[in-house]
Amino acid sequence: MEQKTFDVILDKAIDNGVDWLNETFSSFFSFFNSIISGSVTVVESSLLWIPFYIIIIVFGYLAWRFAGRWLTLITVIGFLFCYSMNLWQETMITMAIVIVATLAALVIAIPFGILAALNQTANQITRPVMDFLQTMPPYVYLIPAIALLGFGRCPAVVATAIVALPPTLRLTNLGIRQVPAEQLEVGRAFGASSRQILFKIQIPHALPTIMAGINQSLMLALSMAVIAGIIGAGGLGKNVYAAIRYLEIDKAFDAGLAIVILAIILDRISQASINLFRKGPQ
Amino acid sequence: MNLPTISLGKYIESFVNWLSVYVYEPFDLLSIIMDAAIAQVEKVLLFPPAWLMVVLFGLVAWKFAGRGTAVFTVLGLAFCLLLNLWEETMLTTALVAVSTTMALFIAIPLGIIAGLNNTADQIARPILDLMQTMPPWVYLIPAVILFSLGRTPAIIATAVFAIPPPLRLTNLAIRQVPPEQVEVGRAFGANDLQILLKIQLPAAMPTIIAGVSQCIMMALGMVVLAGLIGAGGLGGEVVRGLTRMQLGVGARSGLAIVILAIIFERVSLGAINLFQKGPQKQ
Repeated sequence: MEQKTFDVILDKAIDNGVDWLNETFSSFFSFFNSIISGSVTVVESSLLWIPFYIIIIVFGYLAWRFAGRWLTLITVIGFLFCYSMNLWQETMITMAIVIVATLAALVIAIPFGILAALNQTANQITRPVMDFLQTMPPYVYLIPAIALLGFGRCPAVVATAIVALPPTLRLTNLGIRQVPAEQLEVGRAFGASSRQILFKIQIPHALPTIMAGINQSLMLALSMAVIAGIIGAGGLGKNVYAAIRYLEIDKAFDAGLAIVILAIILDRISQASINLFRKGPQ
Repeated sequence: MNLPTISLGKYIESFVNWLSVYVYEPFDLLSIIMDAAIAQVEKVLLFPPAWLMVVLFGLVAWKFAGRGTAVFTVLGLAFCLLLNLWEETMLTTALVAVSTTMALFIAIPLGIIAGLNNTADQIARPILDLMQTMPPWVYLIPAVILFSLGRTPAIIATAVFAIPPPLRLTNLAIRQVPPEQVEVGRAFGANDLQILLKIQLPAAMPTIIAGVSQCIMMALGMVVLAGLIGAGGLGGEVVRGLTRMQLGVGARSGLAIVILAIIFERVSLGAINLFQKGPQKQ
């Protein structure tokens, strides 16, 4: 009996707490919600406004520039395939969510990663937090997101950004720590301030590692953006979720294939851009 | 500009439908076996009084991962008991146990073959890439069509999803065995089987265990998602919370998943460390 009452009390307490948060900070949450949803809408509608062949050409050019002929071919054929599966719109919505969420994750992860690299205390605080974030099954993040932000794009972007945070933060931290001590010495010997050392020595040197982190973040964001279909994020995830409810293999498989294509294109282009950065400083 | 509409999913759908109509016997048989297996494991986990199970899990954690993890395990599981989620927690554990076992039975032999044979490796690699980029949900749909709703499709989909990491790491581990060790074996006249069982596998053990631990974590993530197709357990509760906006239920079961994830991760990390120390002692 006692156990029953405890969990009922806890349920009530959580419900009341969430209600209280929603009522007390409603203006904050709706402000936050409108910023995030607004930016997703802007990205999404501009991706959809541009004719699809121009997007294909742009991505094809990026692929050619960063990685060469093979990737260009894969990109162009892959995107054309998405288009001919009638999934262009969904693909672009998913891409918009991934872009906004990854950008949000980077805005948080890179400064904190730099902080953690320069400051031992910050490092000791962020490390267990990142461990914790990476242990969770990603779909657990949907619960607080939906509690505070409701259904729709905004909780999806927030949950996706949280999932995408750890790799960039960890690798930024690692990249800055791996800068050889001699290079810092040289900077100091020339009388550079800590800020100059950071921006002109440490960050440029750490850039390939940071880019590797961004690549991983992008991939995690894509997988989470799909899972977020369950809370009304739209895009390819919505198709997969709807297909599960109605057991439509064909739709699920097509959407899955479009996700694989998007994953391959984003992964290869961002990986190839790491090599570009690596070549740069040498 | 109009492109012809292509849908590979249509072919997959008709293939799966054909399977489910004409070849249903093996699937039915597998379904019966799986249901029986999971029911047995569940019975064993739920048969002793809950406090005894908590202590037993604590002892296992203590043996593998030391005192801190043992304390966390006991407190965490006691908390699950207090949350009135004991049965769901045990069902989720049972699902993870059965599907991980199944995944390992397939992954480790195939990994060994891929480790020994370059052709097998080249065949396996793109398939594994595809499997890992497909969003996990997509596996649920053919599983549901072939095995109907419930636990069996959840186990099968989870096992399929959890195969790649142990397969990759077994492959890697066998390839990383120093050639000198294999040479020594040959010089003593060992045959291929003896070399495999007495040299390569023992040397590869720590990496294989790392694959097993990744397999367990992925299985946990997927079992939670499998709540969508009526597998029950903690995932089912989360889905109930998310779709009916009963945040208390969702958050409570989310908490239990978090506890379970941390326990599994700690214990399997401890097991890796144990194995890594093992061979060095000799």
